[in-house]
Amino acid sequence: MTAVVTENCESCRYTECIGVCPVSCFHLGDDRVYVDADVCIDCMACIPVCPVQAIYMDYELTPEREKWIEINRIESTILPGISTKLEPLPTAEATRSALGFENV
Amino acid sequence: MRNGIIASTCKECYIGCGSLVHVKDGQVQRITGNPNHPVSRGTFCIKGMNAPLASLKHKDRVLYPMRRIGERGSGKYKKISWQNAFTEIASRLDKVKREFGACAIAGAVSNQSYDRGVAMSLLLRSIGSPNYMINQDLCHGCRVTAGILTGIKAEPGTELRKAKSILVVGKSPSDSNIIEWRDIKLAKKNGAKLIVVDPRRTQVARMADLWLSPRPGTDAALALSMANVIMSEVLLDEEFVAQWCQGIEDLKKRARGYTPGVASEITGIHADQIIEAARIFACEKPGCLVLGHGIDAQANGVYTSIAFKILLAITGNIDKEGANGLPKLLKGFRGYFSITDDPKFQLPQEREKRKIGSVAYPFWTGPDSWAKACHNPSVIQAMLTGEPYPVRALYASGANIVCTYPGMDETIKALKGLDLLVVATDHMTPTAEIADFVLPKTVQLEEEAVFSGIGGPPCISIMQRASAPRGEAKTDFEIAFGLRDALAERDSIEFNLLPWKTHREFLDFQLKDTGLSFDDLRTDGFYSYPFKYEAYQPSGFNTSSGKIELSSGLLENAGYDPLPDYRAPNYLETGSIFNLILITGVRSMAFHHSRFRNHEWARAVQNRPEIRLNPRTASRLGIEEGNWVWIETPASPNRVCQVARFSEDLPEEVVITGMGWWFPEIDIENRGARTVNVEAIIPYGRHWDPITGSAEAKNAACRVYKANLSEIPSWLRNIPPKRKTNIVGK
Repeated sequence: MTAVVTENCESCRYTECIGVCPVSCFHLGDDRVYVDADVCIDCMACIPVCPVQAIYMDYELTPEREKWIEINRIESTILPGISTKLEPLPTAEATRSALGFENV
Repeated sequence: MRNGIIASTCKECYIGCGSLVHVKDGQVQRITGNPNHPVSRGTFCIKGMNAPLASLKHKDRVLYPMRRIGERGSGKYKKISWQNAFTEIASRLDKVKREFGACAIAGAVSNQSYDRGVAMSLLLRSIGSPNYMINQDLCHGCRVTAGILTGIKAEPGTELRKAKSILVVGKSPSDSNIIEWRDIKLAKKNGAKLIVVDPRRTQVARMADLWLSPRPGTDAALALSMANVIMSEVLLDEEFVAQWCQGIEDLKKRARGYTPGVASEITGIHADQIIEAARIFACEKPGCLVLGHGIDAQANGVYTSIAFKILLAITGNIDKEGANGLPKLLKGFRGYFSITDDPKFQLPQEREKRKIGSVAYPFWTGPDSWAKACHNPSVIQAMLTGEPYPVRALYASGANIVCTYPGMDETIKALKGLDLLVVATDHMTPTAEIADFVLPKTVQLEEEAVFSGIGGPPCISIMQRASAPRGEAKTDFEIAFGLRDALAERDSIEFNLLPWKTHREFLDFQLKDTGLSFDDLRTDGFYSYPFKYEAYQPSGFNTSSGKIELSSGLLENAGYDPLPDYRAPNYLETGSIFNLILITGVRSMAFHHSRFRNHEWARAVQNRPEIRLNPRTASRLGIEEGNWVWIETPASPNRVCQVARFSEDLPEEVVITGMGWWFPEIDIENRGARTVNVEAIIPYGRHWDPITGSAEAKNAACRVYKANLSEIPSWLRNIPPKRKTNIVGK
């Protein structure tokens, strides 16, 4: 059981999730973030705050997104952890808009 | 402290996770989990990281003592000095006491094991009244009472992660106990077998090797049937049972009636699954039992708890590594229980016997009980009817009882009819808005306290002050001292049971026989100490027989059935149009009872009250996701409206909702609670647990139907489904 970051995070990396995570379970990649399943407490706080709906619980993933469970697991063991919210990537607004999410 | 990290303890719920408070330029910046804390080990939740900061800095914080100037409920107040507040309150309490007697003054507090419970009970006792209410009759009460009645006061605590089998009943730890949740995940990863009993497919149920979904309120039949299988297949720990349990033959006789076939009929769980669950729990050892709020607050709460706890005893899963452990208290430490249990801090017995509810529910109110509090619904009735005697004044600390007690209309009517209502709080609530006096209370980050966990993990922790109290806020003890002194000037203090001058003096008193001082604990924020397993060796269990009493001597002597039994839930008698079962009080990470509705971070998680139902049920009822629906029960003429949310994780006949809803931002009477809060349709009583007097607030028969939008008040319709802001710590 864990939260899983999927494809919508790419080129956005708003990191709203990192601001609300009580256990700092996110790890920082170049253009996105990943969740360490062993640290995630499944509180789901990150899910509603993501501006591009990139995060799902593992059991709610559609079959084509299930691959992200393993990708998150592997990447979070390699990449550094992060506990402080960052500025979104410069491409974030354009990506969000292209994905069809409103600016809230 | 201007810069640095303070090791403290979270007290936004009852668990007490170790926390680190980050301070910069004298301001608290953020709060994180403390990885060194021996119990929580870095685990933390969204309440802990957000609520203390949001409460501290809240724009609508109550900062000064206030006297009511408008009608009760109008929320109109005038700032007054503490001195005037103490003088005026004491004079009115004194008047009530002279006219109606000391017992006419009552208290209300929630989560009493924190300092506020000691301050409340000892202030009331000093005045001469044994009557204070706690909320734990609706949560925790049945479970702990079951432990006292049998001697099985064993909690999973820090052993959970070492268990080889885990039985979770009526609890979703990912929503309510984050330490247990992490430990269950850890144990599962290490190969533990997980059995989950819950009508809902919760997160822990999804992870389970075996998920049993009983009809609500039938859990006792399941537990007795598991006992039946364990005993008839001789899977029990015969040595432990022979040496340390009494009543095994009586239990065998009782369980004989609950074959898997019979229990399957009652619970709706397949007989093979019952047998499999029993075999797993008896054979995969050590094992832990995690009992949840789901089996409290129902008419068969205590016997249901006993039936499950007995599974621990007959499998020998008591106080061993990886099994539920007996309390490991720090020698010499004085917490709520040791203080309120101490005859030096008690009223004379004839006064204690006048406690409301003491005749009907001695195991809830009496000297041997866990709570020692009075029976809440009987106190509300005493306010309304004067029977068994009048209750005319109430001092509530924190507790927002309008929103958390079932029977909201009666609570409001009772409070409005009082001669005096005083509420100490950090924010205005529907309860505070009825009060004659509102007193500003400190919040977590402004307080110092010592905390010992309920499950008895071998550790005590401290809460440290990270910020000076805002405005004129005082701690519960400081308020109690002020009231005590003003009452003493009027000769209205009968007993010297609150002997300290400052809050710090009280903390010193708590620790003085432990060899530790508060300052010793400041660096780490906790102190852990060595302990031994099998603490019952050699002197036995804390019962009159010194053994675990599968057949309870205490119950038998009091005229109750000494053995656990199943009792059919009351909704089965209802039928007709009320053909759904309403489970209330479902926990959410964002809220704690009625709290945090005034916090942005919590409302970003959930902004409106929701009732969850199976989409097939909804389709049958013509309800679409997001519709406003009315909820009605046969026990109440009222109805409340909430938003329908679909969940495939629920049986078709079950609907679930949380508790405690109100809207701080809506400026109408009781902040809309009467329109949406489920306590407005659940009576405080009618069906009771016969032992604790816990009202059946769960498993109510109900009906749910789509509301016409025109029936929904515009203020409610206008509350957006979601909020999104930068909300951390707000």
